Amino acid sequence: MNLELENLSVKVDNKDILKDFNLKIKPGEIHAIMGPNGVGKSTLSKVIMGYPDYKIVKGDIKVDNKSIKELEITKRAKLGIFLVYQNPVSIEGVRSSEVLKSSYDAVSNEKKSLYEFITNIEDISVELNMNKDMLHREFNVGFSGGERKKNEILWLLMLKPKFIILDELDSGLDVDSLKVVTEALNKYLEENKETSVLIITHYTRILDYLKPKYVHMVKDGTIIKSGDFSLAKLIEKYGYNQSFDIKGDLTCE
Amino acid sequence: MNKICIETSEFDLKITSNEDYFLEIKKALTLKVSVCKNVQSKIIFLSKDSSIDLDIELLEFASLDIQGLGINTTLTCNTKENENSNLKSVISIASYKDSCNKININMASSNSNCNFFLNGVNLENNKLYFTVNGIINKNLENVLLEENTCIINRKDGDSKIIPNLLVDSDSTVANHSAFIGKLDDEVIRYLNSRGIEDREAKKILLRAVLLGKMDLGEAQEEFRNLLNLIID
Ligand SMILES: Nc1ncnc2c1ncn2[C@@H]1O[C@H](COP(=O)(O)OP(=O)(O)OP(=O)(O)O)[C@@H](O)[C@H]1O
Ligand SMILES: [Mg+2]
Repeated sequence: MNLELENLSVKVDNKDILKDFNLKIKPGEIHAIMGPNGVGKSTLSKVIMGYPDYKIVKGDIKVDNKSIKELEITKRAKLGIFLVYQNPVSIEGVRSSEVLKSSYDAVSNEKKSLYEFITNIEDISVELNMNKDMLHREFNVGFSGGERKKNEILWLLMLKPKFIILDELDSGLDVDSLKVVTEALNKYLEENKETSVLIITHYTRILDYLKPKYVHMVKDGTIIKSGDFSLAKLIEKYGYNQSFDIKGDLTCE
Repeated sequence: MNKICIETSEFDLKITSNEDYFLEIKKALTLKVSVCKNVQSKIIFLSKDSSIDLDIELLEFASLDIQGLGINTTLTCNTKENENSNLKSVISIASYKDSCNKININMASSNSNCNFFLNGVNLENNKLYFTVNGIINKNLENVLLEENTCIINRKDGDSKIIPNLLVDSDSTVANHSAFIGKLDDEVIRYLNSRGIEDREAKKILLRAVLLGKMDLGEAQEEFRNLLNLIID
């Protein structure tokens, strides 16, 4: 999917969060965003997803050159946008398999019987090294942070999205789980060459696995510096303030 | 499981052996359940548009797991537990008419347990009241009473939970929790972001409030189907 953010300015509760945000992600590209706490990274992910409480005051979001600004959140999900949440919710009284099936039926064009569907998600859960029982437990209730993240990836692989936002996928996942999950993602991306990814993270480890082509540094609601993977290394080493000051050949096209 | 369709206005169910029951209640009913000494049983009931006057008595060492759904039902329930008895109850009420429900839990003897869940969904702009009285008699030992009540307003209905715990004994644990609110917008948005429309998301969540704490086995499908018709 080709996604463009053009001069995007966003308000929440009358507070300016994103300001003149520009970003172009072409089909198959992987971009990463890094930035200090509270600069608006999760906000950005929710704006792309279509959260109505985040008001776009200026600019546009385009998918394959068409504005999606007016599209509701469910329609964007059906277009193929998938957000892996920083803090996925839990839902008491509802089994994982039930929400996953409702979602699959709503989004996917392929029709599957309940049996085929369960077999399919069980296969994915094996791939992700998850306990199959989790499917029959209440959705994310009592799950650890890492288990919730795996559940997100399970859901992702089931819906086969065309644009993926990973909002701190790496928080909560242990070293081994991060490896398993990113391997599954890489395999998916290998099979779905048009799918693009936006990674939001504070650490380079996830970037070592997913290998973004571009890395952007965000501050005060906008991108202040872009580069390749070496920018991420620089941020990790020197922090956000110093990395910004370092001059060098870091800017992408 | 014994399936009984009750079309009378009074019914006595005396449970003398370890058997389970599914009761379909067809009209306003006075139902007396007594579980005999040493017997363990489970009752599932379903009622639509019928009020229920329910009396439960557990004799010594009896145990009962009762789970029921009432749609537009008004429930009055009195429980009485004798020595070493164990009651678990999950009752849910979904209503689009005024419904004032009253539960009296009487822990009459020592070494008894009661875990009572009462969940409600106020579907329209009607009244949905729960009055829950838990009474633990004087000088009892080792009594455990848990009352959990919750009402979700689908619209702007008038919902109330009035809890009373009258505890006249030291060696007891008695807890009460009450929640009245709306469905969580954050969860609805989350489901939206996975393609699930508002209407379907709300249905899933309301069903969870009403049935989530139940273990219905084969009756699950029937309960779900009925709810789907009501909360559309
Ligand atoms: N719904 C909201 N209502 C009010 N303020 C909000 C809302 N959502 C976000 N904000 C504010 O917007 C700012 C950006 O928040 P956001 O969650 O996007 O930060 P972030 O960059 O993802 O931070 P972190 O790295 O800690 O995850 C914060 O100051 C936050 O408090
Ligand atoms: Mg964040």
